[in-house]
Amino acid sequence: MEWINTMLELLPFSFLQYDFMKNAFLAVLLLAPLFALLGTMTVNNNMAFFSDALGHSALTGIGIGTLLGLKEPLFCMIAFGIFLSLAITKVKDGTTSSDTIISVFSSTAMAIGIVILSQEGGFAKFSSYLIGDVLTVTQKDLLLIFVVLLLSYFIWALLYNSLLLVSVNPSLAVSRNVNARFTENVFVVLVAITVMVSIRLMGILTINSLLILPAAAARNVVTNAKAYHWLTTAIGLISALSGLVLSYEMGTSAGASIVVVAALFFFITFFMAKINK
Amino acid sequence: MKKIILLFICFPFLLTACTVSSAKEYENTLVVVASFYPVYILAKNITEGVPGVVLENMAQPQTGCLHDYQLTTKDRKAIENADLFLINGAGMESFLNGVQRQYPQLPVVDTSQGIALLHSHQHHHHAEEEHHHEFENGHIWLSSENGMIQAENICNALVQKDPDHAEQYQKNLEAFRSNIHSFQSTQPLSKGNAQKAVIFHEGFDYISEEYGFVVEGEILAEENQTPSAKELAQIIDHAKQQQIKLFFTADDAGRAYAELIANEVGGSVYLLDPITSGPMEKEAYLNALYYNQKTIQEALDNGYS
Repeated sequence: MEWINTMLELLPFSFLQYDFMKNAFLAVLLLAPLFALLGTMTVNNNMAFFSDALGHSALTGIGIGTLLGLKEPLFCMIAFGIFLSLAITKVKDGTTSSDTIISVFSSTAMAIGIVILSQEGGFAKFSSYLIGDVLTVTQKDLLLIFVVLLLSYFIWALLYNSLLLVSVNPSLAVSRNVNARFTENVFVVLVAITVMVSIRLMGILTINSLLILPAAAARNVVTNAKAYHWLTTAIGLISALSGLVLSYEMGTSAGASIVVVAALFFFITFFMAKINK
Repeated sequence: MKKIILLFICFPFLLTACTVSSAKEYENTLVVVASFYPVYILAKNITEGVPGVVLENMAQPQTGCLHDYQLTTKDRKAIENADLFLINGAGMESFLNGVQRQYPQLPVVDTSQGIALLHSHQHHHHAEEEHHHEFENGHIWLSSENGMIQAENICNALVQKDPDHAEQYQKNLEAFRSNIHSFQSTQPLSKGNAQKAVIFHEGFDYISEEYGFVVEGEILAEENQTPSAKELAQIIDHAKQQQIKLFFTADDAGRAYAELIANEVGGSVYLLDPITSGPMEKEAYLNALYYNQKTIQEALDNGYS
């Protein structure tokens, strides 16, 4: 870990003299590519609303965690997130529109969470989860995020072709012997783990924008899949770092500041695409 | 289909049937409701052993401070039955405005009467630049002197409401008073023996005042506030410059920030009890005072003599 610290101190940011800012810096540096990776596919598969629902369901995970008397509810959050995403994927193939299904699941999960957490009127205690706080990230958290990032790249490499095929043309995928259901399930589980691991840092209210905005911005201007991925990663990284700098200078929430910068990128690329047409 | 609709209509009634109401089971008793934990344990010292008095706590013990507290339906039921509603006062019960509008007859007793409030802005390190508004610090119960005044106010209200048992209330108050006095005679620090500290709980201003600490910085991470990176950086710089080694936090949201800052400047984190939750017994108040005293003594022994 020492060499990372030394390297960070070489960077031209004055705030990197503080250890807690170093950790926050590393956290967004790890999260940006992770979110970019998953974001491209989420946007491609029209799952923006799904990941939003997932973020909200974190409240229920936290609630179950407190009911069980756990001090660190992360495990419950991940377990419930995986359960919910599999449930949504299972149910949404039916007759009701997937919009409605996701909305039903999302609001139910959120309501259950609030019911549990607002027992005895104490919901205020948990409101830090809504906005998130990247400043208190510990080295243990960083390690966890790093592991999830490696895992995601690994699974990505294995499943990339089938995922792409499923998202472009499901029936073609089936004819090529791709197990569409399995592929989709692995993907949603990955999204669930990523969202839950980072929600304490980024906040329930803003986490989905971090997943969607860089990918959406990149998609406005790219023409092939490779460029799409790299541009998303670049936009993710730039917004994450500028967001963190902004939040440091202005004393605002890091998660929300990152989202604002990413949104700016979206509108820039959106109008660039308009003009080029 | 009709049957299903009928069932749906019956549903709410089924639910109420499950929770049998316990309305007005106390005839001929004095129902005293305390707004939250510290008021409850103070009042417990006064009402203990007096026949015909039922003391209840409105907010549940794990609630913590009452900032942004939302009344549950259960709380409203408790308040509605109250003959006396004891509040901490000093702005702690921010929900009270709405409640008093709903129950104008509610006999509210403000236990903060006669206490000199600290103003939170005095200690804010960053206060000069941005925040010029001052707000009252309502965590009065954390100093033993104030706790005693609150107990006196509670006693007076009870004596007025229930004069038949006046003697017993006053006897209880006397016992409590002598306990507080013997606590105060064991203070480790005399005033003016000023050590610099950073605190992570608004209420610890009162503890600092009692023990004579100089609060050089204050990070408030209670519940809905999170400190910004800039604020943390300023405190770290200041703590390094002033060589502050004492960081007092409660075991709540502030603890992560305390550890973060102590790590950075090489000080130690000490956990104090904000007395907002704990056992529901009358000894709890003094036990917590002694616990804090012991922790502070330890902090001073570690390198400060």
